[in-house]
Amino acid sequence: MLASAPGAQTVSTTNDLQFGNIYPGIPKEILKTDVGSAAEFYITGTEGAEVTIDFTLPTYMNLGGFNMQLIFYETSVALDSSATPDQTNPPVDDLDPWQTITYRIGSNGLTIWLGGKLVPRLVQPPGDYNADIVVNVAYTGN
Amino acid sequence: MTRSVSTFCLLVALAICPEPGLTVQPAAGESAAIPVTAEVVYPLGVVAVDLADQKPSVLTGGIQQKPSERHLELLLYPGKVGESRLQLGPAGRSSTVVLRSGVTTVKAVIDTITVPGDSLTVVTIIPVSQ
Repeated sequence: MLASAPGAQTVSTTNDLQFGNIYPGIPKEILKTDVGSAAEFYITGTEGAEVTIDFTLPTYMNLGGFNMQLIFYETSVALDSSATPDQTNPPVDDLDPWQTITYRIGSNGLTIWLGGKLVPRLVQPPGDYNADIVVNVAYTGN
Repeated sequence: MTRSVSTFCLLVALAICPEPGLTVQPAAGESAAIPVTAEVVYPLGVVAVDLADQKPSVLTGGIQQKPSERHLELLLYPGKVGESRLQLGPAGRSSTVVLRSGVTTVKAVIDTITVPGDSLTVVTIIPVSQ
């Protein structure tokens, strides 16, 4: 019955989540629709196959021993499985990155966007802060 | 009996022509790391400007520094880019920013800061080399 082997799914990052310059004490939010700033990644695999998408989200960015609070909302994810993904007006919007997201891969793969918010302290030490979001994609078999 | 025959026919049909969505087996997940980046900066000065409907995209510009002073003169008006002045906004504006000792190069960053009930466009002057 399950005779044909699936095309392996792949996930690749198209755009990092970039907050740019942050000023002490002034929160900054990157919307999932912010082209070039929001995180964007791309999933390929068997067209029509259902996949689960799980995020491991950092709650802080780090610079040496310093950290800075990072917030992801329950509506911070959008996706598009169409042939021409539209980040500014995604057909599937306001998904929760804290929960498993289940969707089907389209003919042109599946593009996903993620925004977030940074909350620097008033005395946040200057410098380059970094963190990693880990995303895991797996077939469900459906 | 009818149900058994129907079920058998369905199984045969699926075996002959499996649908892609039904034949994908669960597989080990594929992971990727997405970097998150930010730079915390302490500005030398912040100049509020009226950008009207313009959306400047130039973030750096040359600076004209008076030789006898550590003062930075910013002329904010519409026009060209990449000259010795920062040029923004529909109307002429100027402002002076005092540089710290040893700062020779600065960068101007245009940003929109949202505060409760309002949003403010600012030009922030950041030391680059010192």
